[in-house]
Amino acid sequence: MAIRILNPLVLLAGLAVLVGCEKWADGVVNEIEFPEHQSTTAASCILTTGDSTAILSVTNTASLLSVSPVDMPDGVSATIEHNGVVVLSWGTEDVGLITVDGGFTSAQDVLLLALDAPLSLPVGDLELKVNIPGEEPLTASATQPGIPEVASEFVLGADTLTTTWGNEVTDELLVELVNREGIRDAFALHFQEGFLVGNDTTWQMVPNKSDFSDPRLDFVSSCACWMVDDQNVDGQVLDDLVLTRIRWDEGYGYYETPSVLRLVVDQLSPSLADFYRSVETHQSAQNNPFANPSGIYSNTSTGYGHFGLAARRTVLIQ
Amino acid sequence: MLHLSWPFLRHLPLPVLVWTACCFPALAQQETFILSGYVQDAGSGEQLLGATVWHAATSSGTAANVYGRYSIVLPKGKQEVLFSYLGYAAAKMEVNMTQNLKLDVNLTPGLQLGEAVVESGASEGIEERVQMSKIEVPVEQIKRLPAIAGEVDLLKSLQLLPGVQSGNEGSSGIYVRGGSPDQNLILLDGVPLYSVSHLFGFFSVFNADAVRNISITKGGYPARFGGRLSSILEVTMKEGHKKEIHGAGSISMLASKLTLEGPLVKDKASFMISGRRTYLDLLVNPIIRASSPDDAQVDPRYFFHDLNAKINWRIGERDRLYLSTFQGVDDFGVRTKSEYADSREEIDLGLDWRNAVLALRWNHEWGPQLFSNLTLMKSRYDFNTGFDYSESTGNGPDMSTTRFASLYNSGIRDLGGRIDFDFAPNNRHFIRFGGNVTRHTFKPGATQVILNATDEFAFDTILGSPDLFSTEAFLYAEDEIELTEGLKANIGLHASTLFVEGTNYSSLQPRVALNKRLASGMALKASYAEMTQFVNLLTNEGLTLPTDLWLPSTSRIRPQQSRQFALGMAKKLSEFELSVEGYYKDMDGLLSYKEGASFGAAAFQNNGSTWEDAVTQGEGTSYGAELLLQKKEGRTSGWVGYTLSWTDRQFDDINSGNRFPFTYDRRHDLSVVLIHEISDRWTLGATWVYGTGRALTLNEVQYGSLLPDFDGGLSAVTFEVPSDRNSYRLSPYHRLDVSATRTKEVKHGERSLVLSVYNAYNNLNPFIALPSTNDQGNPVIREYGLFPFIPSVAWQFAF
Repeated sequence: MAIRILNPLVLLAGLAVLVGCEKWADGVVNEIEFPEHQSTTAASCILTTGDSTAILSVTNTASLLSVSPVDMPDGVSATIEHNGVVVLSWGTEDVGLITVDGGFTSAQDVLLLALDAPLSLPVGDLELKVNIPGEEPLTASATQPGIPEVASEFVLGADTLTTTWGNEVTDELLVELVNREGIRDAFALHFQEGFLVGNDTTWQMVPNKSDFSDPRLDFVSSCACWMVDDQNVDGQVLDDLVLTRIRWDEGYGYYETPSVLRLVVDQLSPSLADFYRSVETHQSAQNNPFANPSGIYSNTSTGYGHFGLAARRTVLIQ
Repeated sequence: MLHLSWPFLRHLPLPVLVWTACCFPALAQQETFILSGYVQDAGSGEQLLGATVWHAATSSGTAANVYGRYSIVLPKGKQEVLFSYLGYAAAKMEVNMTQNLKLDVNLTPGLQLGEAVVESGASEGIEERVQMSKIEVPVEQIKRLPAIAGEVDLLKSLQLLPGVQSGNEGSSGIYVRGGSPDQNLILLDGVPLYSVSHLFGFFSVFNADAVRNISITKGGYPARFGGRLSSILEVTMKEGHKKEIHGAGSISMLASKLTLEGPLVKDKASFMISGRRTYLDLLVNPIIRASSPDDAQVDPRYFFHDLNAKINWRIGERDRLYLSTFQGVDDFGVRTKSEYADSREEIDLGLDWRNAVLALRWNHEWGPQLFSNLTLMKSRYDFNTGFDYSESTGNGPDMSTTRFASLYNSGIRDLGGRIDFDFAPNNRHFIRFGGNVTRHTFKPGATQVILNATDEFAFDTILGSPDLFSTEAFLYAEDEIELTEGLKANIGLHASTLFVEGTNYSSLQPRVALNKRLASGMALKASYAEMTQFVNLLTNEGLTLPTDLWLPSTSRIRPQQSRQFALGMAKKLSEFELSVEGYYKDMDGLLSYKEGASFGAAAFQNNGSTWEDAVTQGEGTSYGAELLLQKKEGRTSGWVGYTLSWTDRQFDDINSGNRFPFTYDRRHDLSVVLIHEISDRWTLGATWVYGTGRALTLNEVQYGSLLPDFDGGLSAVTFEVPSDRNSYRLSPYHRLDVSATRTKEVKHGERSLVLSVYNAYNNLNPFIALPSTNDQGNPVIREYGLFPFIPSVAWQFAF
């Protein structure tokens, strides 16, 4: 009797295997359907005092499953106002191209305004308004901070480590920033070295070995900077922030000596600091299958994009 | 007459005596004596925990405790008492109660319920028990269920019960009434186990051959349990045959196992030892070695093994000792050795995790009414991962070696003691009280970095969070009381406290369970329980991995707490037990990684912050209804379980603070389990499961933006941003597993051949969803499955 029952089971099992061979081959179960996405506008603008151009990215949003890429809509214009007065404006004629992800070949349309003089914006609340024909204007507000007060001290050859490859010398830059009580102070620090190319100086981040144990300093790749944020240390003195530069004093390949060093400190609007941190978290989660997914901070009326402002002070070291 | 037969009782706290005296004035009106003893298997001498003792004349009964000991108060004179246990012939004993008596009762296994002489009401059926939301599945029944690769898995069998959900495809993790895996208190012989998975969660650590009993309590927790929010899973190891040597073993496609049990001193002391090991590595490694190039040797390894052992010793009429241990190891990695001229290079990378528990228990009968158990326990879980690279050049005195290693370790160690008392003053009260102290040592993750290049350039340092110490203690008291005819209650209080980093948390947790027996035979049940949890498992919701970190509540991390209400009915319908329950549970202090954070972020903090900075706390709710129709005996047995449920979470730092569905929010969950004995030789088993698809978050929208680049300018980027948390669902899950077992009696035991098919109709169930492109080149999100139709065979023997 048992055999009589088992025979059909074996046949059924064989049939199941045959039917499922294709599935087994590629492992695909199903394709998930997305709801139809109601496209809206995303606008992104980061302005820093001293900039020679003002760049505004405006694109439509699209479903991730959309075949056509996101792009800038036609007829976009935009203004930035302070107390109802336009302090900056882009017209439809200001369309320009910038590189994508720092690449050399691909480019994306943006509104790009070449400024006659280094950018200077009034301190206080500014409003970005982006107009697209036939659509509700996109708006966003941010607070333009003042130029930060910075004190610094450079210690040449603060430490030397002898290794197989030669002497590794560490120079230290001690930085002190003003932390106002009751006000969110966030800073982006860039410790850079400059190389003279023709008549121009090109700047790049110094090779560093900064103190990772200082909880006040975070390297945030989304702004390519060391970020100092007073959220947990409001009102406390932000001194003895140590940025380092390492160099080899002998024997380890080619090492061009920079002509100058500088510290660039951007005081960030809180919205810009939040944006940088959210991008950092988002990118970390995107690259990690075990991380909980993370969105990106937005302060625009459509919920996509951001408007961030920064005031810059540059300190030449030597 | 209330018998206080041991002087100790006179020194009981006054409130206990007052409580007893006040509640039972009737006790003084009739002369009574106490019958006590153990109910045990006639063949092996093993105690039968939960066996029922019934006195029909007074319609009163009791159940043996977890050590098989019972105590019942009987009127003076000749009395008939019925002893019964599932799967055993009931035994009717006549006793002449002229004094307190001690009677150990042997029940004979093998007879079906229908064949035994059982009087109505003799068995403490589902409608009799005050405890609700508790399910026991006979291990023998579990062993006859279909199993992947022929390896029976106790936890996967529990996933077939209502209110108990599986995680991902193939995972042995359990999610009870909307809770997460760390909210299950898993006790192996009373000792907490922190990791119950082998093979990345595809198998549990419980070896069915070594286990005598398994039960899960999903709500209405008695006061004697605490420390977790969602379930109590009790696993009891076999004690070992007290009369003769027996053994059992199996060879499956995944592993082999062998169990031996027998007397150390006949009828006094016995042992049980059971081991299991996988052998995929033993089969595959020679092939890989043979195919490696001549100058390189590749040694991959994956195996797990576990060992259960137990000794029990009856050291006197009133004392028994139990010593039990469990050791489990998983090791996964690869070692590569290569040689080029006089240079030798070796890389070893991998991960391993290991569990170990040790329990020493001492049972003592203080008198016929008072019984105690003292448990001393040790539990340890370690997880290690990393790589170790070394290179040697030259020979003899000229040889130089460079080594670079990064070795990560995390884990938890517990040392504890527990004392439990059972006090049965009469048949209307069963009082339990006791306490527990546990010293936890948490290793939140530290990485040893070793670099040894030259004598001048070498370091050996440890990065990461330091060890954390906490002390957890609780006291409890509960009374299972017959309030009126047909109305029983279990009322208790659990008081717990935690000392950690100079911070103290305390909690009083009331527990109430009621059972009202209606004239129709149906029982209405209700319960309320508050629970507090001082330990947390920091885990990714999608997968249960050995990287998950056990961490305590700290000064910054408040304890988890829950309140659960449940209402239900239970009725025995011929050979079937039917229960329907509804529940509502709210939880607070739930722990989750912040958005974007994960194991790596917590383990390798580099800016002075700790794992506490990578987590956030929030709340959750879970509610639903469960139905279970179960038949435990007969030629055809099994159950149908159905759950309708809703579960959500809310964290201020996740999903913009909005409430979202829990990953394992499963609207419908249905299991059908059937076992049918065709003949004495052939048994068929089948399970079919259906569940709503798992909730997940997908990147949904893209748009252009700007970011600074390293040259100080701005670049265009395209962001892909996720949907609201868990707003998508994988496809529903459904699967049929079947098995056929042929058993043959031989001279010294029996042999069985088990043929089983996992996923019999080859429905590839979704495991993960990933972006892809279809045949037209358009972007799509595809679900990928893991396990197709998998036939397997196992051979088992017993003697």
